[in-house]
Amino acid sequence: MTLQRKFHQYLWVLPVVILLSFLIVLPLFWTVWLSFQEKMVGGKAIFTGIKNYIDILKRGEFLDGLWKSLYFTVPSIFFKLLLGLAAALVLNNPFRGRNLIRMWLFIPWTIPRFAVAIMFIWFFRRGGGLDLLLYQMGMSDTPFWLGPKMVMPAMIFVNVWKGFPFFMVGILAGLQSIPGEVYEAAAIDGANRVQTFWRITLPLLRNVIMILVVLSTIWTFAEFDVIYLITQGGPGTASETLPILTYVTAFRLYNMGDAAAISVLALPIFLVLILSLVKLTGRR
Amino acid sequence: MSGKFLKVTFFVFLILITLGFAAKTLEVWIATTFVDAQNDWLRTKVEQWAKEKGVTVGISLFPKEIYTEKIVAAIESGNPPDVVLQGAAGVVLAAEKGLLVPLDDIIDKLGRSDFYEEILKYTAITDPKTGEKHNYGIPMFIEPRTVSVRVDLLKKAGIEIPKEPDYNWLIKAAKAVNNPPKVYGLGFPLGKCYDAHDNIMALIYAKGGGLIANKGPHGADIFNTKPTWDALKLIKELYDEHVIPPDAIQWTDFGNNLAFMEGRIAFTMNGLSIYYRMVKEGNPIAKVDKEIFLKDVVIDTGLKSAFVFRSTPDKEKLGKDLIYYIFKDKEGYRVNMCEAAKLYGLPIFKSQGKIISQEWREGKWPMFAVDPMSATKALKASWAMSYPIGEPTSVAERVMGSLLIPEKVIRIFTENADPKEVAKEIADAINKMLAETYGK
Repeated sequence: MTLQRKFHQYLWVLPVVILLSFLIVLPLFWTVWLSFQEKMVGGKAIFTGIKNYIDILKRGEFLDGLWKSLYFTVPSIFFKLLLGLAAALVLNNPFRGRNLIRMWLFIPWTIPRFAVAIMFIWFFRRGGGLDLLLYQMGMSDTPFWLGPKMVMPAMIFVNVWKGFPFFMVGILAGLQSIPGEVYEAAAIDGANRVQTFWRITLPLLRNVIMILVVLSTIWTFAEFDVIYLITQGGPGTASETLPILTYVTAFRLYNMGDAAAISVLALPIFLVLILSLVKLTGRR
Repeated sequence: MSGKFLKVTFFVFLILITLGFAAKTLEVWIATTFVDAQNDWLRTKVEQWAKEKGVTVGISLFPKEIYTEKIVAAIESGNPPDVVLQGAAGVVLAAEKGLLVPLDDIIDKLGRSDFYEEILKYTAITDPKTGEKHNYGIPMFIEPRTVSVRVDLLKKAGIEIPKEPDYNWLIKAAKAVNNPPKVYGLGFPLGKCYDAHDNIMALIYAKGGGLIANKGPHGADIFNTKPTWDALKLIKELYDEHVIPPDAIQWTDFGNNLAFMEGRIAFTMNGLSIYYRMVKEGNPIAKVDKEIFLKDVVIDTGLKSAFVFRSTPDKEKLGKDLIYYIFKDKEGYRVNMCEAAKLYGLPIFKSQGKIISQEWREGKWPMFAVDPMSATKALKASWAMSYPIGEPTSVAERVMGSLLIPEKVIRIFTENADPKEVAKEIADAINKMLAETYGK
């Protein structure tokens, strides 16, 4: 390849590189720079070194928010995967009304997030949908679903309900790409359904599942709107995950420096996830 | 080559034209309320003014849920609108940073003596450079906290509403009508919401306490004093006695509204939005609802103001003229901003307040057990103007916006935390904000 040809290739991608720099790289550097400044909204930035980081870690709010984010993310991903996988396995078999059920199960994914929040405020409130349902089943002594003890499990429930169709559709596509001959060969070798699932289906779905898990982990970890609309991070700080903590610090406490430091501290988690995704999608 | 040249010239021309238009357009933001009539009237007035003056205006309407983020981002990025109408947050923050145009001359033109004095305090902010106080905004209306009272339940319990009801009466009456789990006496929100902030602060103020006394680094020490401890202890007692519904700890701003509209609570302190909604939806409870003001203290929750950002002299002049144009039609203002909202917003002008009082005497506002304009006598604080400092501060705005008080107070109910310990924690956090903002 001649030098001129190489130069031309770089020239063609240059506009995209410039655009991406403006959209992604510059804000990232700006956030890191901001995290070392004392900066209130509308005020001047004063360099304070790592003071913001020390303050945040000292106050314990970052670790508290991190713990809540992990508590929210890990079970959410687990249950979304479990439900999505189960639904996909069922829907992979031909039966009457399959398309209708597939469509019906996909509905939660399509509902706008603010509508989901409003729906679940009604569902979880005292005497709301869940209480009525349990009352019909003979249970009258129900906890406060949005109280300090139950609010996180309630938010996980909402996230699983909204997010499992994504896993279902992804896994279903993966299942349909497995050639039928593989199953025929397994059947000839005398493998039963359980063995077929563990030895053939699951290994062949591995990459699809990993990509779904990594993508969904990024989204779930960054989940903000549904939780904020339902609880505002409360009661107290019971559902104040890292994105809510960052938002409150920036837009309600007007403290841009601290908010940037929280974001930067959370960055390695996202970087690990994104690198995993890049690695997974790069596999041949 | 000439074709290429023409193309480039055309695009440059297009950009210049766009920039030219952008420079002449007056950007007006309207933070919408839940009352369509208010938003529609403001929009119409802006359009009328633009037509009369031959000015191009860009009107953007934002629901209050996203307005705060918009205005904070605009201030931070240095790209604010020219005029904001009904903006609740941002006025103090922007004024303290020297980003707003004083509106004293507009207030004088509208007749300073016609404004309720307390209302003008809401936007009288100290200029960071000169140290002088100026009015950097004009509050759109008074938005008082009223107590919604179920008169049918009071009647059953043989209790009458006195001429000047206070907290003692309210608590006594709440206990008398308390019949849990069917009806709880007092719908006192305790979740992480603005209603909880206002209810807690109103009780603390009524007990003689305060939030911020001065802008010094110990300005919030007043919060960690006996009135606050007593108020918090009282709320805890009422909660333990189930006069306050147990689920109040998970209420958001909607929680007490809904509980009242469903008949689960007898009294609750809120804006008039509950009554407005009940009338709109034909809820029968509206007929047995009376709205009262407690004589001890009335908190104005609004601070929804009109303000003008500093830009070019031309735009600043236009922005001020627009605000004058809106408020000079005082009758239209009363009818569309106040009466159409079922008095959820009360007029800021004495001349219009007198008409409302007269109408109340004539029976036009039967939901009020007392003259609605009597609220102006007990106005003690707004969201940004805490007591006893009597001046709006961005710190008070931050305390309210971050929901610091309900966030900490909840521990008294869920972890049995000592009210004194909680009060100290809150006071320390506010002192830190004061030191950050106004220096040590």
